[in-house]
Amino acid sequence: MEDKNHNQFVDELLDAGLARYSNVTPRPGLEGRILANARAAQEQSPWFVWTSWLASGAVAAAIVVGVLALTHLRTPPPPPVAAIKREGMVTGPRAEAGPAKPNLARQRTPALLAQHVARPKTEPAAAEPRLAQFPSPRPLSDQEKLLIEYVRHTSAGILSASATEDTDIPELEIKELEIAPLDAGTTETQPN
Amino acid sequence: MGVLGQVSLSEPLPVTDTAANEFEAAIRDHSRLVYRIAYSVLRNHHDAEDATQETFIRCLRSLRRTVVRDWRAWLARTAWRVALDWRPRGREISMDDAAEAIASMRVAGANAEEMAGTQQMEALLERLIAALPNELREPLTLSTVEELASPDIAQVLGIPEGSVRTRLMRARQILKEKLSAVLEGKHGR
Repeated sequence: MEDKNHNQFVDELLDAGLARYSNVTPRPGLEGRILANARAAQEQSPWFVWTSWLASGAVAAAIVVGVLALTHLRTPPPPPVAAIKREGMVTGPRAEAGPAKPNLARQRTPALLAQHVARPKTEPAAAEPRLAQFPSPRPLSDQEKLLIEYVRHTSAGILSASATEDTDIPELEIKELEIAPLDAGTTETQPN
Repeated sequence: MGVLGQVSLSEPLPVTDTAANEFEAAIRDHSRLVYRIAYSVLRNHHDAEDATQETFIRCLRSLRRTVVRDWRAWLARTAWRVALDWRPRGREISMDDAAEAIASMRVAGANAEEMAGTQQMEALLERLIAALPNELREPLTLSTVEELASPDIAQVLGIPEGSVRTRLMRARQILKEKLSAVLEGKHGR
């Protein structure tokens, strides 16, 4: 009997509690506030949309201009390697070995320079264009330049003389070996 | 210029006349339902009113691209989603104080109606419902809104009406067991 009463009480309590759970009344004037907010939101909406679009466009344009400006400012001048290499290869002694090589380098250099400009600055490989020629031509060293100057200002006779002088190698003189004959008495071993 | 209950609309809404009339009628007829649905989830008058505002603003924004045939169902579903989005998560479930108060009232001989009207009972029920699994808590929460019957709840949740009834029975059974334990002083955390 007690259990039945307890169950009945719990049922009643649960029903009453659930009935009150969401049975609330909003503050007066809710309808008017909803309408006022809706009107404000609706009026604000087109302005907000247009403003956000304009702001987005302005930001995008600023980014593009900034990137272009940075790219333009950071473009390195043409590397001096190509200019020095051409001079050296045309006038120097290396030009005689392969006359086609300077032409090849001259043809490829603009394209490679364009590639170099297009690449980002951070790539170390972009600093020096890779040529089809191996080893890559380098500017002449001071010693090589001195040698070229020497060859230019020296007559052929002197050059050939110095060349022949350099090639004269004095014959080696090898003295005959003098080996003293061994003494027979001193070499014999005496029995103990 | 329209009239909404006691509210006079001095400026027309920036939508077509038909849509504005429907919107005003929806506010007049269903704002309380929307508010109660929001309150059943949020358990706070201030948040419930904000959620009600948000529900009607969403409704207004969709008027240009959506033809609303059943305003009541549409608003109930939207209010439910808005309230779920706004629901605070990770709320601590501790019902020791409320359970002790209810148990002491029972010992003192209070009847069910008196006990149901107390803040302790409301807090206890809130915590018991919050401890239910989602599939049981959602239909039970909606069932506490006076205006919503099982078909409406099924429409809001997108489940069959039979499932709503089954889940409501299971939820009530669990609540009853826990409430009984509280009244007998056997409740745990």
